[in-house]
Amino acid sequence: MNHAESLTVSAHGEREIVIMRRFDAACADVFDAMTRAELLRSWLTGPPSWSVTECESDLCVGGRYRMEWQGADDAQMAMSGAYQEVAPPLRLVRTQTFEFGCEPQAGQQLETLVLTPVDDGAATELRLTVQYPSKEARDGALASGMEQGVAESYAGLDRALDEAK
Amino acid sequence: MLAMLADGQEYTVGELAAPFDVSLAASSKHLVVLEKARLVRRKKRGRTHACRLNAKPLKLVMDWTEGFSATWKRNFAQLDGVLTELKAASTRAKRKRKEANRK
Repeated sequence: MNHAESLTVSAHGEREIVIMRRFDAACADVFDAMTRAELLRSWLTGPPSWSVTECESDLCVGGRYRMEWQGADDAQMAMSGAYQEVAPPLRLVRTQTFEFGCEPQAGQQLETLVLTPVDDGAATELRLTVQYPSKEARDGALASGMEQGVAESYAGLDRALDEAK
Repeated sequence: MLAMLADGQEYTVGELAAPFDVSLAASSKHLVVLEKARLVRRKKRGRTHACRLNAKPLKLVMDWTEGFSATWKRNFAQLDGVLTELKAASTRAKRKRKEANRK
């Protein structure tokens, strides 16, 4: 079954983005896939043409996780943080910091994952709340993807940028 | 402004400000922000400043802002695949256990 259409991304309060999605799998499997390095590696690959170059996850309170990606032209990106609450298979809280070449998302975010069993446990409702350090940071992250047609206009800009290099 | 600079040409602050209904001072301020973000490079050419796009960090940002939602959408679709595999693996394991018990 394809639930891709059921993804919702919305602004909550001043500093939060809430991501919701339903999966045709038990909460335990979703929890594993979101926290075990060997599984994260296979799906959290980032934008098209990027790939995971490093992934580690020490799943315990205070344990750290880190993922690194590589894109074209040796561009690199990393995401890391520490687990604050680990309560499988329903709840996880962790800090998160992105490292880009030029820090468009400065500051630390707090990510809260809540999984709720539905359909007698056969499916899972995922709710991922990302709290940003400021309203500006939240709005920036959200604006980047919410504007329709941005991708198309960027494609033209992309070509121009390649020539400008 | 970034869209104007995207053709790779150099523009003066005045040229960049022209299409917008804002003061030269406000445009200049905006450019300083872009410069601080390392998205624009500014060179002094006589009495004017020539601005040029610094494409590399912007390309990186664009990849990662290709869509906050779009990225999650695509990555979650991949997660669907992982979950299907996990389910199949646990079904296989259950079947094996059953067979082992029967023996």
